Amino acid sequence: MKYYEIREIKTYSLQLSLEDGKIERPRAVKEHGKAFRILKNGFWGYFTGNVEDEEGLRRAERCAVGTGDADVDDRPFEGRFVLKPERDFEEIALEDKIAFLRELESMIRAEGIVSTRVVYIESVREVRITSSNGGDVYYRVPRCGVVMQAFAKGKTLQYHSERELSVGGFEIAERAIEKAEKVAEIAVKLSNADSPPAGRMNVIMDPSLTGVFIHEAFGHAVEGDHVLQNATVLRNMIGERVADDSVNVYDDPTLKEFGFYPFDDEGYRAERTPIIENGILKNYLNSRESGKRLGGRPGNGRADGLEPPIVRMSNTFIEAGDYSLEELLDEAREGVMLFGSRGGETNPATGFFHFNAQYGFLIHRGEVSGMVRDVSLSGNTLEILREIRLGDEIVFDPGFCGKSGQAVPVSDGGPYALVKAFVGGE
Amino acid sequence: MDGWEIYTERTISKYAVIENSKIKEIGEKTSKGEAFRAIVDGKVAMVSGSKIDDRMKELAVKLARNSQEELKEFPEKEKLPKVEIYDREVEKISPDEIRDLCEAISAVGNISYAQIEFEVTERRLTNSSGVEYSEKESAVGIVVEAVFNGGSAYEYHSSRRLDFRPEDFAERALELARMDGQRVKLESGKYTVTLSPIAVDQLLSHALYPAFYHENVKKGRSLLADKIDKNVFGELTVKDDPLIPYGMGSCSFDDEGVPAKSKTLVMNGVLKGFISDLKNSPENPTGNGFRDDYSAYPSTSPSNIILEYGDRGEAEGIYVHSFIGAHTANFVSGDFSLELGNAYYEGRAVKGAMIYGNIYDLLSRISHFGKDQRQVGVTLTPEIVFEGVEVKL
Repeated sequence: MKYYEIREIKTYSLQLSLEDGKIERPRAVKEHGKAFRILKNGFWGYFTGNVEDEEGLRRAERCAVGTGDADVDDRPFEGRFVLKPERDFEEIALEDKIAFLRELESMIRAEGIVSTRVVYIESVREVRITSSNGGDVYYRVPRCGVVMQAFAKGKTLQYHSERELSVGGFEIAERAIEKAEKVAEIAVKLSNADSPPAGRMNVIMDPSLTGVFIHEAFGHAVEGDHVLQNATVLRNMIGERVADDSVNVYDDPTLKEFGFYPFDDEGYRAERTPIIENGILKNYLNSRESGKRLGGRPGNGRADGLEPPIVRMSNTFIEAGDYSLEELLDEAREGVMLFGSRGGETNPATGFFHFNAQYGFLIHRGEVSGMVRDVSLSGNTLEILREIRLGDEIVFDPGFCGKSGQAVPVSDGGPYALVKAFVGGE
Repeated sequence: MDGWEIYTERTISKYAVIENSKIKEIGEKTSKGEAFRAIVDGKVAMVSGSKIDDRMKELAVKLARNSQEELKEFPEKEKLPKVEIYDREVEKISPDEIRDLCEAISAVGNISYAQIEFEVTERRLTNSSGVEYSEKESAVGIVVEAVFNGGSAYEYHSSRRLDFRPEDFAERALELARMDGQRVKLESGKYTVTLSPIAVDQLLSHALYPAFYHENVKKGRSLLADKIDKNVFGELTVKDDPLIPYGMGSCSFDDEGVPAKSKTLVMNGVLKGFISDLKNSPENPTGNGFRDDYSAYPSTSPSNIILEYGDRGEAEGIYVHSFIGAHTANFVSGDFSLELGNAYYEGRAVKGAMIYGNIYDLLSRISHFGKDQRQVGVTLTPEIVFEGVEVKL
């Protein structure tokens, strides 16, 4: 037996939803479980279940029936980290949390709004990982926040949502107050907006969309498992130019954003990874296995609950450039300016990406004009990064990233950015 | 407490992972999850976890006192229909047998990633109205991605039994990946388009099915709201049927104890009904209250959606195997603008193209169905051929 890990996880979460002003589906979850994995003859055996350690390891080993070329960077870490929130949500009464949700709801209810939803989430994740060569790490991280959504009826039925989620306590949820009025205002405008033009054109992405772009279209292509699978356009590209000089991209789990973690789910200490610097591809993101096989630093092996850890992003961002928004609009002259994301998808093997924006505006003679709805954006990652112009301030946006059926909290960051891409609508 | 319910899910899953045409991991996951729902003064709340102790039950009661989620009572015991959904062979499979199946998949070559999984789940439901049901089900699933010369493609399939050859899906993925490398340039315009069962499921799951949920009808989020007995699209028939033997969504009771039954939602284009969980239609629940996992509230979801149409024939025009970003389709308006994933025209890949439209218009443009029905996700359908679909490059 070459290497093994035992991961024990305790989680707690509470979710309260205010749907059209009524508290619906309140729920609390408390889970406890263990995962075991063994590397033997270059092959992984895996087992999850609530059993004693010896039994778990034995059952994992019983699955390791093959031979292969799997390997690990087995560097052990020891450490303990407990994130202390400003306002511990466990000390706030349930009634006060509900009163806060009602206040937010009153702010997103306006003329033209036909339906509202405000969801409060709090969670604590407590993890201990030990390994065969003496690694022993423990951490406890609380997360908190609010998602707000309003449906409006005008020429069409449309919705808009905003969220405020991060590591920390109730103070995170309280920040949602600043975004609440915008939810109703945009939903109402959107319900009377027109369809966008279609075709290849100048697009200014807002910071949230730039963040999603860098996550979806680029981040997934530098995940080390995709490199090992021969399934990314960026294979064998370390040291090559992949973007304009002005482009710097990092993944940083140590930032106290929604994707924060002190150690990854393989017990490796988290560190900032430069992905692109001055347009040159610097590093892939790695797990213990892909790091060993590709020659990179692990620290991005993450798991949803007791699932096997795979290579994941944390807080991924493209650094600010030096264009003001006015300068970007002036450069664009004609085109569209798109805000927010309704999710997207990408194919790292080919570099194609596609995602939908929440809403947009036409740009005419360098000025922002009419609002447009149902806008989608697609293109090829590397082509876009060669001609990107970056705004001067970055903002992070939280979300859940899905891969191989596992969802983990992440955040994406970026500035306003001008690109040429394919815009579609109805 | 005026009512309670305990839902328990026990799962044993054996799986294997293939990376770059080599099997690299075999695992076994065992889990048990319990969910406890309490009703206090006609309002409900839920707690869940690995084990529900008295403290968790007290928390459920406290949450229920603050809840406005209405639920008068849990369903009473009824006679359940019988439906075949379990195959012992799935439970019996060994790591060595799984490794051998994976070797056949790997042998196809150019497989960047594949996962095969054998899962057995036992659901148990008891409540204060006297219900005590349990049911065991099995599932075998495969996902496979192939790459070839800058082209890529994926396939997936699931069944209650191992009644398919996993390597067939690896071969289909490789065939699509080969075509994907050979690009054809099309002009924007109106085309005849064939959607594969995968593409149909991806599109309809996001753009159409939620419009049948009683909850969305009630909340003004469905364009079908006032269309009962009116023609909503062409000649299509849509059924929700949980009683098909070995259907992936088949069951004898839903996740809150309502007996399963067959429903016709659209008959020859005319809207006949909606589907609902207990909460959104307490007088007439349709047995469509399902939990995403044991810790989630039951919510409305289709069981098996069966699509039927009179004319059968061959695939024509642009063949769409899959979409990219289908979850971005808007069910509230029915509008979609979707990037084609793997799609081909006369044997060569169509890349960077999008199809646009509204689902209600699209379903009125059906020319004919293909010949072989297959279940993908919740949808049982053959390929569907549409005329006059707007494609932009």
